[in-house]
Amino acid sequence: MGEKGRGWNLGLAGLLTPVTIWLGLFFLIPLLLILAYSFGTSGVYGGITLGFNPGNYLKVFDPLYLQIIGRTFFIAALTTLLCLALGYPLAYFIVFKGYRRRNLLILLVMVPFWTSLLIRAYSWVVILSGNGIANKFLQFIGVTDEPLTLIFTPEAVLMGMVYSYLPFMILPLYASLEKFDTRLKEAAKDLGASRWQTFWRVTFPLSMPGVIAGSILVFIPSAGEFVIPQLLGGSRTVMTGTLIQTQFGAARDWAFGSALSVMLAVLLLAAILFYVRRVGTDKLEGM
Amino acid sequence: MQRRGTSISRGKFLKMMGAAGVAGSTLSVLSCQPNTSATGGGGGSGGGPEEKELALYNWSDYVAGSTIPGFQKETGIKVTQDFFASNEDLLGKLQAGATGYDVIVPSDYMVAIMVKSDVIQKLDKSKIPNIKNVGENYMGLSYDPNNEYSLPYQWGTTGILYNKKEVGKLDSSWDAMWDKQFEGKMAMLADSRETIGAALYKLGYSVNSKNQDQLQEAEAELKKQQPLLRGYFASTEVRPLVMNGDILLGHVYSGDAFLAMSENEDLDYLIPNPRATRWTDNMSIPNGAPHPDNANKFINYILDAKVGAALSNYTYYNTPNEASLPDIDPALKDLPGYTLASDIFERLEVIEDVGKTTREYERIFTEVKSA
Amino acid sequence: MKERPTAQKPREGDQDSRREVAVALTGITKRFGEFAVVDDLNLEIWEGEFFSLLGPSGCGKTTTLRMIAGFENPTEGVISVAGEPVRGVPPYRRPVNTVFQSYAIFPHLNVFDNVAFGLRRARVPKDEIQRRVVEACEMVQLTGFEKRRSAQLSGGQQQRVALARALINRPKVLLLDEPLGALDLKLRKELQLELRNLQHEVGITFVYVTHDQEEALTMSDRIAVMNEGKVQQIADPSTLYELPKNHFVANFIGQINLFSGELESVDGGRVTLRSGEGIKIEALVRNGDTPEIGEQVQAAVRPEKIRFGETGENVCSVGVRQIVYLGVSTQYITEFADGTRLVLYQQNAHDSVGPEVGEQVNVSWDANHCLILGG
Repeated sequence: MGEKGRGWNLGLAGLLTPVTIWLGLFFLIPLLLILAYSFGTSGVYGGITLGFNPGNYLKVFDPLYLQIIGRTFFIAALTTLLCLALGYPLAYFIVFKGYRRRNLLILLVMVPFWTSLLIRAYSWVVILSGNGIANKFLQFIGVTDEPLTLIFTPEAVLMGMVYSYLPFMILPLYASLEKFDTRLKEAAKDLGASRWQTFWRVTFPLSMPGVIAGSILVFIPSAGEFVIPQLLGGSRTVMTGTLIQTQFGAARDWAFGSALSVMLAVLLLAAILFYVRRVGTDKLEGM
Repeated sequence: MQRRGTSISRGKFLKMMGAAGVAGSTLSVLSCQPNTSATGGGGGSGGGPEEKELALYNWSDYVAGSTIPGFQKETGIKVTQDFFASNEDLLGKLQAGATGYDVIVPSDYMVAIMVKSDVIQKLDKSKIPNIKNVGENYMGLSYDPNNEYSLPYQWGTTGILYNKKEVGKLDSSWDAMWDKQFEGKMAMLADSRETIGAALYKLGYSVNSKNQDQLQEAEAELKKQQPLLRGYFASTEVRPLVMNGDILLGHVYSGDAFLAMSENEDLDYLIPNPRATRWTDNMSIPNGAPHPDNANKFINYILDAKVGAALSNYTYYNTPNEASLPDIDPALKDLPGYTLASDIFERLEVIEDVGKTTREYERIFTEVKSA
Repeated sequence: MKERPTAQKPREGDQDSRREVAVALTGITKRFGEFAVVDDLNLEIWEGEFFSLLGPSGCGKTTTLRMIAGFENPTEGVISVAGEPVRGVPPYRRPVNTVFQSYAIFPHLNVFDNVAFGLRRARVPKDEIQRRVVEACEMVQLTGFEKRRSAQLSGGQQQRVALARALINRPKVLLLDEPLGALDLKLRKELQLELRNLQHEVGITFVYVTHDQEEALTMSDRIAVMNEGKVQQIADPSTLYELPKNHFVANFIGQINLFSGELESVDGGRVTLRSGEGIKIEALVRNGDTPEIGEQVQAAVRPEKIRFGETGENVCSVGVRQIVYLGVSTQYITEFADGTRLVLYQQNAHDSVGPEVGEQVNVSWDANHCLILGG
């Protein structure tokens, strides 16, 4: 038995070695590099001198940058909330009303992934522009005479983010609801819970793992987003991602860019821990 | 700063997709791995004959269809191309130790930075006899006064592409871009130096100002302008917006203006008074280039009259090669703002590196955008 | 099998008109597509009784239960609970509660919150909930387990939670869908008795679905035997056992020996038939049945009613083929000359030595233990 167990452990170690090396090379080392850079000093013409320079972090507390970080978290949270509000009913519908078409429907949710995010984001520019399909349609049905300003607004950024990250919400929700034992719904109804109460007291709490996973999967990339604000926001919705990109680009300030990256990562981690604690253990039953 | 970078800008649909291409290339800004797809062979540095190879590191879509095949045919040297999306991207790669590139195409201010950071080498002018074709307006510019490190590839201006039919003929100042009657119908470049530069020009200052008071004035101007704009975009994105009528006035690079105007007669291009930017992209050879001889040959080839003409007829930018002028497409030559009187050069400024003040520019631009 | 207090032979259709009807199913048919899972079902379940729906899987018993609970709607017919028709009334508004086959304990809630679920939906005051949950847990012997989650409970404990969770709402009718099916035999036996006692205590009508005939006989006041969507017989356990209405019921409930043959004489409730084996058998006719001479019928006799010797109205000679010792009794499998089987049980009450395998012996049984089955 012991021999067998050891053999199995060796086998597992063998299986895990490539992924450990992979994570070490492409995840851990770059992360440590960014951490080291964040305490370095950027040269005037780019490049970086390593050392211990906390000044990069002090710079983050510039009200301008704090405001941008605050806005980033607000937009990411709003994106997450909207994705949840839109994705939950859809996942619910697919699981409980999709019947034999379930697999097809969930496949359709994933279809957008087959195209690059950039192409999809830019297709929104085409759709929402002054003489785009959306405006043509609105004019056709008589909502407006003049083309409306639909694109290059904060709302367009939000819409683009929700559109892009919605599948990240739906998939874990689907996985979570799919495992749901429908007899629990019957049990709740049997015990006097209306459809609404059944949902809030039983179905929703039991899909919490999916809600949490989906929220995290949407929130993290949303908070780091920088392409969509550029493409759909006309660069006027400045987010932390944009700021970091600028530091590694035109500002040639890699040290500050690294400090911003580390701050963003730390804040994200804190936000997620807070969220998981609050939502994850919050007993929704109890009143 | 990113000037070009449309990987697919020809053809109507592809033109629309150009913006996606720009953003796609910005993604690579964060990837600092040296790209070694162009293999650095032995050969070059030892003094012996070089391999028949050359690695060109260029902006995307920045050579004519005939350029590279022509060179290969003439010299037997096989060219591999790789692309960068911004000058900072290019600098970052060279600073990170990327080797294997023989010819790079940095913009003006970046040449100065590269000389100071010692990542490019001197040209061997004895191997570039076509240097004689370069017009005197394009030689000896501030970023490389003796052209020891660089020779011009293409040049152009930064100005206003606008719908003449809708807004009428503009007077020649920058004021139109602050005009409330065009609210929501204007766009500026998503480039700190160009857009802050426009404000500095409007105020009568230099685009290379390091004066805090002047910069603060410019910031105030831009904050006034920001609510009037649709947004800040890459030049390739501004072009379709003006062409579609989404906006009436757009801050663009001249090549995008000429491309738009050649397809839409209602459009006009203005190089505003009192000052505006002229910019130059240059050919340089990085330190450690595996094939410096081939690189010098390639630079010489580009400065050939016919090759230069074909290049500019394709890019819609201006050529520094005066010998090429007779072969430039007449339709292009006749577009307003393409063929410039020589006295206009007096009011065109070259963007120079401002050292540490670069970060001040970026902070101002961030503040303006998020105002 | 449960001992009945009735000394006499149970009477057919033991109707007690004084009792209130808790659940009435009238002409209930449930079709899924073309297939009728339940076919023209008529049932009256009385208040306070322990009523079982018994039948093999697929007989429609669970569907019937689900229709009472409100999870399925009948295609035809009317269901009334406590005198009120419940068509269109959603499950959460019906005065019934269900104990599900696999308990369906809410995994995200602890025992207390599971049990309190129904009361909270009914907006019962907090202190009353507290009191009643403690009471209910006590009733099902779960005191001390209130803070546990379902994953930390054994099957038997989960079953008790399900029971407490349903009973705490004081339903008019408690529906139980094979609630003991997943438990091991010993626990099942224990819980059968407990469940029966509990039902006496609370006095709530229980409708109990099971495929286990022994379980049904042990626990029920009355049983409806179902097959292929139809009720075969509704009766108390002893009537079902002693006076099965037809072949299916006789065979489904306990073991039975059957003799087919032609009626030779009819004398009131007493008949004689000549079986295929050439034996003359005297048997009883069920109340109300009026068979005629010459009719082909089946006579049935339970194995434990047959004994060795010649001391009954019906006597015949069989060869012993197999002897199975069962503890309480011994089972003898015997054969007639033509190979037809006859099974009999003998109590192991005496030291008496039975016949050996291969012996030819006489067996006998009384006419009033032999019943002519209906169609």
